Amino acid sequence: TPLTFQICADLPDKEVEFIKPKPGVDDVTSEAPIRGQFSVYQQGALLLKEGQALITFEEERDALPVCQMPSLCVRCPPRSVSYSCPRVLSLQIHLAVSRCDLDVSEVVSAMPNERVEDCLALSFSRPSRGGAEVQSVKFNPRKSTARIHFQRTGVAESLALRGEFSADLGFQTKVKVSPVFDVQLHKFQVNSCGVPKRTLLLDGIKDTGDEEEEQDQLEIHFQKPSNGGGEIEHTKYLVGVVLCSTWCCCRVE
Amino acid sequence: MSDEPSEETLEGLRALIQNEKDKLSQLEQEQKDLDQSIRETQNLTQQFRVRTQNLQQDLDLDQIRTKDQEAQDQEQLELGKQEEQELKMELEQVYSELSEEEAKMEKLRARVDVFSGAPERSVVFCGHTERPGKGPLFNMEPLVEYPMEGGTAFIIFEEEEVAQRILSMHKHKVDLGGEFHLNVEVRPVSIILPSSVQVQAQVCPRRILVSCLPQMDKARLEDKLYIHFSQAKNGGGAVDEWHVQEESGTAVITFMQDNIAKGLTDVEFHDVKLSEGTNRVRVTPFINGNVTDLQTRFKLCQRTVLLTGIPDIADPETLQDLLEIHFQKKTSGGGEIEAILYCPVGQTRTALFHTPQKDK
Repeated sequence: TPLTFQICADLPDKEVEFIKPKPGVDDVTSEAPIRGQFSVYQQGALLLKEGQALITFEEERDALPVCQMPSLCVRCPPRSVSYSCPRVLSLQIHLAVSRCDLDVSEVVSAMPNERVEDCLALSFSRPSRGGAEVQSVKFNPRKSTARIHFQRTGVAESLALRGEFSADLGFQTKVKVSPVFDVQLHKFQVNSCGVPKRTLLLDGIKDTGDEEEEQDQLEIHFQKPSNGGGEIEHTKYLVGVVLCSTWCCCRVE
Repeated sequence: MSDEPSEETLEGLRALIQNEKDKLSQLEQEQKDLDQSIRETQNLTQQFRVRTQNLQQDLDLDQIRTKDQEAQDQEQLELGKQEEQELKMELEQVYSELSEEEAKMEKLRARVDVFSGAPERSVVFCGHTERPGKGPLFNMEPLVEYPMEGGTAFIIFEEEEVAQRILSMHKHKVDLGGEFHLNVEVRPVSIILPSSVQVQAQVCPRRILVSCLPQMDKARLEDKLYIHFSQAKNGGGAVDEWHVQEESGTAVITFMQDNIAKGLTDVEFHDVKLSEGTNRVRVTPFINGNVTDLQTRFKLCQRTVLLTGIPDIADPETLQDLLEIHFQKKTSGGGEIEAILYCPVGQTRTALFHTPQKDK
């Protein structure tokens, strides 16, 4: 039997905002589903110790910058670092959310199936309840679920957001509503943490007592092209006895 | 006179009588003695009889006791045998549990082996610090394509409070100049995001992942890889599908049969004619994954609003500009706008949503 294992990933809450129109020719209809591409990647953490610093450059450096600092510091050999998670997973979730379909559950009724479908169609077409014209209803009596297909978009989304709906199935009852979507997994990969291309690890930085100033000095030094440096994306410098070490999150790229 | 008493004389008779009397006394005495003896013997016999009886009784008792003891001993033996049986079963169970654990260990070892064979990718420090928790730490980058309905527009404000203020007003009168204005409705925007995903992963018996590939033209690389891995002398076989994933610098090769991939991954490093001369490539198992569960959450946009009910009364560019001007005015309750997209009636537009970049 082939080796099978389960991976459970809890995904962080991320902010999402409208950024810009999609460039290029748009041939999608307005009834098209809302397509989401979610790049999920596991992060390994690197333990940064006292007197060490991590610098991530915006671009890959062909030759890593020379270290001529007032305070002595050495470039850590890339293989000397160990990560909390030496092997990391990455994947892409493709989600297509329907804008006209709505899943209904907890549809409990003693009426015959056609009656249930009619009642649901009626309930969900009431504008007073947030509904709109219903094109079709498909009831599954075994699972007590139904799928509603609305004529136009926008209704399913706003109802799904509420989570429940007041339907009339011979008597007033609350049913649960949820969005309809299609899920696909792409680019599922397992990778070992290799040599960093954009991140530099420095060690042996003398503590001058001022963490911020030290960090600024490092950034200034490494931004100078004359030192082989360039635009910096992230820096983390650790100094002092209070915080002996801190975990820095790294991902594969 | 003679010594012997005779029967003829009186004295002689008296003497004979006396003799006979003496004999009688003697006999009587003897008889007494014998009687005594008999009585003694009888007594003795009786005593012996009693003794015999007692002994017999004792013997019987002993026999009973012995039988009991035997029975007890038998019971003990049975118990002992049963215990032995139970212990044997326990031992069996422990052995089977042990072999189960060993099998699990083997599986875990195999799993580690599979993972240890994962191709390397370079690592980058992403800027934030976090203590590693119990489970693996995942990050997610969303990219959402939102098809717009005609007569709607998306606006993203710079300030959250501006967006909230606009939303609280629900209906807006957009000034078009002169006495003209149009009424639009404002609604919040929610995007569905995955909140957790469960993936079932399995080593694919028909595929291999090839890494450590040199930089070269994709089509040529694919051809060379196909040639090499379709030959049995290289450990390969009939190839079903093959392609290079430029993003990760790896190639995926799918064979027709199930028995090719394992041999290749076991060898791990292969010398293949790719660019000039031969290149040492790394062959590792390909892991198939499929989603077994997905939980979602509704994420409310903080700075984005949706305008609806925009009538088609001017050309799209003009209308978009008018809307932008209106919603930037403080007097309308608006503020600085980062971006606006208007979708005219009868047309389609797609809006891109993702996590906004945080300024340094």
